[in-house]
Amino acid sequence: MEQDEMVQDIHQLIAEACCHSKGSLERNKKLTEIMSLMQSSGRILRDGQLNQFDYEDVLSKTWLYFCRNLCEANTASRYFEPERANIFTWFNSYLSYRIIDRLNEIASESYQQIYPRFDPETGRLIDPIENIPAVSSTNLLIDEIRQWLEDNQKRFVHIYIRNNPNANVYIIILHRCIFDTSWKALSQQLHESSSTLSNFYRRKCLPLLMQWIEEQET
Amino acid sequence: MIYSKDNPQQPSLTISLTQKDCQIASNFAQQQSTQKRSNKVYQNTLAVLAVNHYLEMLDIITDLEASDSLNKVKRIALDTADLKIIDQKLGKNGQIECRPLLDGEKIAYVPLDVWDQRISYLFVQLNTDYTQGKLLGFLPYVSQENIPIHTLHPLEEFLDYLYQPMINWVRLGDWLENLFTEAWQDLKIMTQSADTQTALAFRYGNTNIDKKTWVREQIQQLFPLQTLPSQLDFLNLLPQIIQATPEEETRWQAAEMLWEIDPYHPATGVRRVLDLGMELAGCPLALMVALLEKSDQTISLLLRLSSMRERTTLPPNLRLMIYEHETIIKEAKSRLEPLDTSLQLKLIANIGERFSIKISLKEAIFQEYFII
Repeated sequence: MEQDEMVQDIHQLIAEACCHSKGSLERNKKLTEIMSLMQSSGRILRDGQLNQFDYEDVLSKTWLYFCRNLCEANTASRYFEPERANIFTWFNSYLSYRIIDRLNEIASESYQQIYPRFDPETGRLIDPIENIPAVSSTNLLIDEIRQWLEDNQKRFVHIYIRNNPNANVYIIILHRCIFDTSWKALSQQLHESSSTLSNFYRRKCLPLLMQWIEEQET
Repeated sequence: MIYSKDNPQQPSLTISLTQKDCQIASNFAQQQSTQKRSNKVYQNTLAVLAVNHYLEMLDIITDLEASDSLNKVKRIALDTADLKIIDQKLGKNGQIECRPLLDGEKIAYVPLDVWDQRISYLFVQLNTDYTQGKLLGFLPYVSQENIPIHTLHPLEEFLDYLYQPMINWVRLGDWLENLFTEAWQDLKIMTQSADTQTALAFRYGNTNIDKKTWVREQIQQLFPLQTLPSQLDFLNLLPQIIQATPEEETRWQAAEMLWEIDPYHPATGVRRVLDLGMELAGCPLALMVALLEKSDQTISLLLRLSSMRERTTLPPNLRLMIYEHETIIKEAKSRLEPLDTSLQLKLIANIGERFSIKISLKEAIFQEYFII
C-alpha cells in the first residue's frame, strides 16, 4: 500500500539520520528532509477545536520535541523506535496531548490569548486585548535620536563623503532614521550612488549613533 | 543546484510561529513611528524568529539577543532581519539575513542595508495570518535589491553552505581607504627589493612606445582645443587622460606611465601584489590587482598575473579567469609560442559587487574572492 511505503521511506531516512551525531550536517539534512516529507504527506493531525494561532503554537512545541527525541531520548523517556511504532502515530500522539493541554488552559479562567492581528482593511496591527491601533503617538527613542542629531548638527555636517559636503552624517542619519527616505531618493538628492551612501552610513554614521547609545546606557 | 522553474515540487519547510513570537513582533512593531515601518519590523521579526526555531530544531546555536534585529536602535536605523549564529560545529558564524515575503509574492526584497556583513540569506514566506513561516530557499550573497524567488538555491544546500568554511573576501573597497591586509603587498616596495628573486617585472603593455608622442596624441584626441607646450607636464596631463578617456586600455597605459614617475600619485589609483605562495610548472607566481576610481563612480580593475622571478616567462596553458557567481566572464590563457611574460584581464565594476578569480594549470587551482 502506498501509505505504508511512505512510512517505510521515512523510517529509512530516520535510520540514516540517527547514524550521524546530533547537530551534524548529515543528520540535519536528513531531519529537514524528514520534516518536509511529513508536512507534505497530509498525515499530521489537524485539530478543529483549536484556532489557527493556538494550533501553530502547539505544533511548534511538537516539532521541537520530535527533533530532540528522534534519535536520542532527551525530553522523552525513550526515543523513537521504528520497529515499535509508526512515525505519524508517534508524532500525532504527542501533538494530541499538547492540544488537550491547550484546550484545558483555554477553559481555565486565567488564559490570555496573545495574538495581535493585522486588520486586512487598514493593513494595521491591532492588539485584540487592548484593541488600540499599534502606532503610538509617543515614540521616545526616535525623538531622542532626533534630539541627539540636532545637538550635534554642527559636528556632524562636517563629516562627509569625499568632496561632497552635502552628503554628511547629519543629513544622512536624519533621512534614514527620522524621515525614512529611500536610498534611491537620497542618492538623487545628494548626487552619490546608493552603494556609496550605504557604505558611508555603515562605516561612519552608525558607529556614531551606537557609541552615543552605549554612552547613554552606562 | 538552482531551482528549475518547471519543478513545482520545490522542497520547503514550514515553521510554526508561536504566541511568544507574535508578542515579540508586535512589541517591536509598536515601537516604530510610521505604519510602514511598523509592518516592516513586524514581518522582519517573524522571519527571524521562524529561522531561529528551525535552527533550534537542528541543535544549531544562535544568539538571538546579539542580532541587530533584536536591537531597538538598529531596528530604527536599518531595515535588518538578521539572526546571529555562534555554533562551533559550523564552518561559518555570523549573521544570517532572514528576509520575509508575503504569500503570493514572487520577488523578495533585500535592502542595501544588509548586502554586507552577512554570511547568507534565507527567504521566509509568511502566511496571511502570520502563523507560519515557510523557508523557501537561500542565497550565499546578494548584489541586487529584487530577487526573483525562482533563482533561490534549495534549502538542503543552505545547510551544506553553513557547514563549509568561510570564504575570505578581499575587500577592495578598503583599498580605496588605504586599508590593506598583510598578504597584499605594496608594489613599489616589492620591486625595489634588493633580492632579485622577488623583484617583479610588472611593466604594462607596450613598453617601447614613445611617451611624449603617445601623450600628445591622447590629449589631442580627448581635448582637441587644448594646445600643448613643447615641454610636457606629465604629472598634470596623465591624470587628465586617466579620467577622461573612454578606453580602458588607454586609461591603464596612462596610469602605468604615471606610476613610473610618481607611484603614490592619487590618480594612479591603488595597486597591490599577492604572492600566490605556489609554483606552477616550477614558476612562482604573483598576482597584481590595481584599482582606479572613475569619475562616474564605477571602479576600473586590472588584474595581472606574472612570475615572481624577474624577466621570467609564464608556463604555457596557464589560465586566469574571472567569475561572477559560477560563470566565467573573462579569461586569458598563456601561450606556448611565444611565451608570455604576464597574463592580464580588465574589469569594470560597481561598489558592492563581487567576483572571484581562478588561476589554473592542469589540476592545480588557486582561487580568490573579491568584494568591491
